[in-house]
Amino acid sequence: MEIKVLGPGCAKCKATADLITRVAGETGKDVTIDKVEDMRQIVGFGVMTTPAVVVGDKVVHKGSVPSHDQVLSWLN
Amino acid sequence: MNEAVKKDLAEAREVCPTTSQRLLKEGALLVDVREPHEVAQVGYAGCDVVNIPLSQFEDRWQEVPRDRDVILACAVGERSLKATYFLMYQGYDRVMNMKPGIARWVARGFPITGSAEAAAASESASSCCVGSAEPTPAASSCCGGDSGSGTGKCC
Repeated sequence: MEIKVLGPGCAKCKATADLITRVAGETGKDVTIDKVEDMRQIVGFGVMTTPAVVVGDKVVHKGSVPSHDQVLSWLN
Repeated sequence: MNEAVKKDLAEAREVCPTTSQRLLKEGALLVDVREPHEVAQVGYAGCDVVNIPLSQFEDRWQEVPRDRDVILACAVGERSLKATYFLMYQGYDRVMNMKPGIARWVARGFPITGSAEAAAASESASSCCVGSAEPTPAASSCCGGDSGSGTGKCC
C-alpha cells in the first residue's frame, strides 16, 4: 500500500515517515511511503497543517505526528 | 478524518506591493495572514484590510469574499502563498499572493499602522523587482502575471 506523508521536510514530518516505516516493519506490511514536500501539492489535498498522512485518497491525519496505534489502524 | 479531494492547483498569481496598491485602489481586499502580535507591531493600512492569521485560517477562510479580488499578504510572501493555495483549493478564483511582503510595502512608503522599524525585522533577502538581469518567470511574476490587466512595469 502507498502512504503519503505531507509536509515541508520538517522534523515532525520525518518522524511521521519513520514511525510509519517502523510500524510497517513490525506488522510485515508492504508499505511505500511517498513524501510530498511541495506546498502547492500539499495544499492540493486541502491540508494546511502538517505533517499530514494520506492513505489511498483519504487524508487520515494532519497537524501532528500520529500515534503508534493510529498508524497501526491505517495498515490494517 | 476527511475525504480528501486531491486537486491539481494552478500556479498562484503573485503581485508585488506596488501592483497590489493599484489593485487595492481598484477595490481589492487585502487579507493579512500574519499573527496578531505581528500586526500590532506594523500593519498594512490605507486600504481595505482584514487580518485572518494563518493559524486560524482553516477555521475562518469562509470570511474571505469570493466576489472581489483578494490579495493575501504576510511578512515575506510565504505564509500568504499557502493561504492563497488553500483558497484556490476551496474554489476561489480571484485570489493572488503579494510577494514580497510588509518590508517592501514599508520601503515603498505605502501606508502602515505601527512602527516602520518593525517591518525591517521581516525583511527578506528575496527580491523580485530590484536590478535583476534575469526576467522573472511569468508564473511567479511580481507585476501582475497573466492577469491581462495591462500592468506594465511596476517596480
